[in-house]
Amino acid sequence: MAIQISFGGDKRRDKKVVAVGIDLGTTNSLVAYVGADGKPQVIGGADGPMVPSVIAFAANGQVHAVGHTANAQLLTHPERTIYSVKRMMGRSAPEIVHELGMLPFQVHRAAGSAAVRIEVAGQKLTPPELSAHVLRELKARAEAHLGHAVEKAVITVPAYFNDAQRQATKDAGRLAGLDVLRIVNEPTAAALAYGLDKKPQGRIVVYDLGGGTFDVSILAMHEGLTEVLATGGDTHLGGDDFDRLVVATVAEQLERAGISVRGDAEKLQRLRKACIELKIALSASEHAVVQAELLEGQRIELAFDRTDFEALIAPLVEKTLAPCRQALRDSGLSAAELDEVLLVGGSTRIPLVRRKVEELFGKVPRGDIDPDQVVALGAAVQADIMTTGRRDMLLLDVTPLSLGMETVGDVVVKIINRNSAIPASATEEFTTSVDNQTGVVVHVLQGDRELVKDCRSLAKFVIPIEPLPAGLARVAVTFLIDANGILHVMAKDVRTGREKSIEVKPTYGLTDDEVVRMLEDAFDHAEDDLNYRMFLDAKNEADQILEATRRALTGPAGQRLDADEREEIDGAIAGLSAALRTQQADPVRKAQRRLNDATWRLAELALAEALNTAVHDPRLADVLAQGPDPAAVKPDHHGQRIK
Amino acid sequence: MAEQFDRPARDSPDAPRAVRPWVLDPATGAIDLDRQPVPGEPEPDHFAILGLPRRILLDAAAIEIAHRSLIRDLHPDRFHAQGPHAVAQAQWHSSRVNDAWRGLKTLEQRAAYVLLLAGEAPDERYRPPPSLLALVLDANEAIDEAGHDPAARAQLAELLTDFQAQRAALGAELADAAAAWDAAQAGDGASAARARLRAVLGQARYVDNLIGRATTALSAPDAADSAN
Repeated sequence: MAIQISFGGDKRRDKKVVAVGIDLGTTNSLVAYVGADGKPQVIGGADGPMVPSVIAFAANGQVHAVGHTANAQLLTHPERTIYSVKRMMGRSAPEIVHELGMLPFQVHRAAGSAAVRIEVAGQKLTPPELSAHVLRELKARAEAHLGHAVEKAVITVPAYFNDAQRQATKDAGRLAGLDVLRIVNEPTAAALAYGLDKKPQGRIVVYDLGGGTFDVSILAMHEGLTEVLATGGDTHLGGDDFDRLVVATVAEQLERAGISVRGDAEKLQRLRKACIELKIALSASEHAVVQAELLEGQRIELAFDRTDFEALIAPLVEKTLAPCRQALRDSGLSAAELDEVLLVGGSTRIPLVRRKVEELFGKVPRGDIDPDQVVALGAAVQADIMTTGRRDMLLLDVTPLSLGMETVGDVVVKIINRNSAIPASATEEFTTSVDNQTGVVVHVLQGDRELVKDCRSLAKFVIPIEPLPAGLARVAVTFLIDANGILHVMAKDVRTGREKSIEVKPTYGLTDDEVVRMLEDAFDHAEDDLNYRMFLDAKNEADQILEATRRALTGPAGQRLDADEREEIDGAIAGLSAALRTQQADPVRKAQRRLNDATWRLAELALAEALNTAVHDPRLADVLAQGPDPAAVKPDHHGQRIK
Repeated sequence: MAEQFDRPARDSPDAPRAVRPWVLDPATGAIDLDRQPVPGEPEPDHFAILGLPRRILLDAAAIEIAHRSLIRDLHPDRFHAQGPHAVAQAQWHSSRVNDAWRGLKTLEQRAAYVLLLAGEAPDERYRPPPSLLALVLDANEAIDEAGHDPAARAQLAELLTDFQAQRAALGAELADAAAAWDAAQAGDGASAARARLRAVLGQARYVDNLIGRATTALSAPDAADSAN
């Protein structure tokens, strides 16, 4: 059998992947790309392709891990480990406090800014800044895999995300050094990845139940055009909620048994981890048992029945069905007219969810897609479509929520209805009601309710008008929802035809200036972060040398040193210990070199000692007698190993 | 402002000719993302954007084909390599293509749209003819009581059948009025055709609203009050 060994350049490096697709999830994130073969694939890591969307801060405020390593810190330092950032994106301070529940984070809102900040490890960071850390990790992962820089990406969001949440996601991408080509809705991305293989012509429904959000989309696919007909969802419903119910139930049982977990962040995190394991196990079996270690050495056994679990989550699963029915109505289709049902998101592995979906749509869901990866794969397909100029595929999405304006009596008048294909626009004409009035205030809202208080405030702005008698000035304001589902506002004087510039202040989130400032800060910070990482590397090495030196000093080799040598080594050790306290890589490296020099003879003595011991070891004698290993023949120049 | 739309059509009233979609250069047929109305020329209407004749009676499939083919060419995703100006222009044009499609999907929408182009805003305070009014009063009573009273529900179900029959008749009348408008839009009978269209459309909307409320009341008794 021939083994391919490639010489020279790696094939992957010959054709650059310009843009990647990123599924930025509540609990896990993934990055994928379309390779030279035209097929999308996820980029794996040592722990698989899923990167937990968890950010671990060191006590000094530096980010020192993202992903699996950060997940581990969730148990040891929950107070400076952030997860579920997606739930905070584009939200107000009170909403975040509600989202965070019992987590030990302070939420701030700076004067003069609509951006909310989370206090962690002595820093106040906005959700996009936090999310950017996850994106940077994915970017680095892609770059390591592809062997070149990656600067562009398509990022997915729940279809039901509003303007502020989309904008926050885009800001996060920018802060991570990514040019965000497109924000794509998760169910749409899933359909795109699915459609790539099957080239289906027909109508499909995508039911997407992730960690934190629920989406449903109904799409029609014909000749490469993936057209969303209707979408619906709930941005407050996901697998995390199932976890919370199980945790609450188990915590109550523990409480009755005299074990309290309330108000103890570390215990709660350990319990949460065990409950997630229980939940996952219950998808495969009727009864699950999990060992939980609430404190070091304190092990307890937790057991759960699937029937109890299903009874617990049934109301939440039921809650997902109303948006499904609404989306069906909005699409003008009946369940019987659907050709396929696609399940996306880890929570769709739960048998009760599958049963309910099958019941509602009257069809067995497709079993041949990976619910965890399909969204990232679809994002990669979209990135490929947008950067390689292929014209056979196009994605036509809709806006999930109606856009409206405030009018008299706190009523919202709709200007673009939900489920309108995007880009979409509407032009409204404004005039003055008082002589010499110089402006008209416009309040833009998103939502499908009638009253201002029930819709989401997007932005307020003033249309500037030159002073004229009442009713003479006429300004046409165009509201445009772009392909990302993000609002743009333009104004034009009707009489002169001149464009007017309007400053739109977002109600939630960052202004453009704030993003630019953060990018500059991040640039400075990037240096800090890099320095710190270099220090950590140097420290690791230094620790090893210190440990080895101390061991050698106490052994027989140490006894043979003379007083001067001993003094020199002790001085170098003290110097290295002091250098470590500076938390700077350079002094550590210098001090380490000094210790290396000082321990030259100690190392020689220790090596001689070790060899002396080894020669007396019969195993080494065997090896020396045998000669070189005949099996260890190098491959010949054809790159094939001959058997 | 709306008067400027009410200009005589260049085509003969009997067969308005399909023109090129507005974004295409009239001479070459190539996409011109920078095309602007020349001074004095009005902004293109939905029909012009999609390159459809200005008629109420149009084939639904033809509208869909026009939309699909334009959106495939104009979607901003297509222009990423050409820089931000092209993307912004594509965004603007594709938004209008989508808006036009959304506004012309149904016969009722097209009828309302041609009235709007003629400067007639939809009349919110439309008053139905007396024959309809009597039905409406019965219906309101039945809808209010349909929550728990089985007799009222049965009466409402019966009324719903009446409404649906009325709506079917109005649909035929609407198609007739639409054909009359399509034929007369630029001629002497234009004003009378519009008046007839307005009356039939108003009734149809009224009955649609009743059907919607009655259906909601019958399917979810408790939601009858909150539905709109």
